[in-house]
Amino acid sequence: MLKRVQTIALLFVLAAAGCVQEEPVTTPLVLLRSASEFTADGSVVAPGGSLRFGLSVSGGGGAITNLVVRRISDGVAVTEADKGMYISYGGLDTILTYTRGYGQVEQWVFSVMNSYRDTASVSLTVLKGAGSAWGEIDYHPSIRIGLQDNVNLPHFADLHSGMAWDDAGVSGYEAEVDMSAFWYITSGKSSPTLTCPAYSSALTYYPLFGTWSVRNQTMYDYYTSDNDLITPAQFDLADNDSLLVNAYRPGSVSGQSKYAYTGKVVPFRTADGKYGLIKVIYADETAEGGMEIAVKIQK
Amino acid sequence: MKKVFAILMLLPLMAAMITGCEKEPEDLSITLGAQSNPTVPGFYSVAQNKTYTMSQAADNPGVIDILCFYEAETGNNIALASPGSGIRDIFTGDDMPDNWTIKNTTYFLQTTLTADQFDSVQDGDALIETSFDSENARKKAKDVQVGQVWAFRTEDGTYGLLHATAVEQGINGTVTFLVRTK
Repeated sequence: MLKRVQTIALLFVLAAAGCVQEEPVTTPLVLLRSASEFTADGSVVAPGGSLRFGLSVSGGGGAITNLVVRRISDGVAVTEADKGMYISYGGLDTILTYTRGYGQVEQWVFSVMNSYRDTASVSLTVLKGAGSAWGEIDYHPSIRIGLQDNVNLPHFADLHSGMAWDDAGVSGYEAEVDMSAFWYITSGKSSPTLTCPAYSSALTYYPLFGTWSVRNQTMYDYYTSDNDLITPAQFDLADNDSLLVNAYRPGSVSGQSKYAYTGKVVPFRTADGKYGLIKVIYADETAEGGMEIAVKIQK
Repeated sequence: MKKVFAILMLLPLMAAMITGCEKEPEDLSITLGAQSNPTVPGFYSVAQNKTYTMSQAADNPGVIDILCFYEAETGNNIALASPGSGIRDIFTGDDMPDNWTIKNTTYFLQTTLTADQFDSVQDGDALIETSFDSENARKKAKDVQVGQVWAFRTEDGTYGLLHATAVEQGINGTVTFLVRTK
């Protein structure tokens, strides 16, 4: 009887072991689009010139989970973007815009990962053109917004146009909103804070964001702000987008920027790829207070 | 008795092992025959993923997007086109596409995608559409060669990629390909 039981058990083990499912072999694919509107490999672009990359990505059998963009300028690599995502169907088709820096040779590397942690990448080189091609900027000398409990000032600002809307008036303009501000105590310090609709903790202060179908993600360079690398005087002198682009350090950015005190200058990049600077003209340090900022942004 | 018991135990287990194992992936290739191929249908519906003979296609012209033909003199060799592409003097008889009341036009563009890259593409991927360039697309995929990947767009706006995996030249020839669509 014991032998019979052992035999049956052995047969069950064999049956189970015979059909072990292997993890599928997947190969994601990332391609650079080649239409004339996109920057091609070997292009010559002057510093300040616009770079436009069209990426088409397939998960290769797995969901696309990550896209990383690196700029290697004269051998120095900077991660311009590192985006988590989960795209299980339809792949990814996206257009990325950046600005040519000062390096002699810029290599751009676009890497993707899928849900099986298989990766693929594609790269191109952009050579340095003569002269410069720094672009025009828009200047909004005064945008006044309220902090979270302010009932008199608008809360939702469009950094491109300088417009701001209150809770009632923002309907229909949600896709234009780049910035809001709130105040709180963090690490024992009072902090007027810049945020954006896509930043998850912004919902604590602006639950309305949770109902929006478009929630823009503005990335603020907190390092430059925290360390006062750009002064208000430099902000005032900027008459093209050179400072706006070069001040922004993509390695130290977040969807919120703390300690936006009076006199701070905060580089940012909007969801549509525009670089800019925010100068904090004044910032109250109460939840009912307000903030006045000046903005310079790429046209 | 023991033997009977053992056989009775073994049989269901064997059955479970066989049916439980993952099946080999199906061969989803499509093969189209050129105009005089007597056995392989030469017309294809992308939406239905189905091949038709010319007489069957003549009865269902609205669903036909792609056809195969061979023409050596012009260098077309084994080529793909569509009923609306204006191919003349290739097909004959009452059922030939010239006589159809509906002639869908499909446009083709040879891509630089490799076979491996094609294998990474999944149905529905945006890349299928962006691989197509309407400015440079043509009404024929001329001289289709093994390994080539062609982008296409059908009359009803379906985008596709087509990877040629086998080609046999001649009026009795064939082309075999895999398709991804969006």
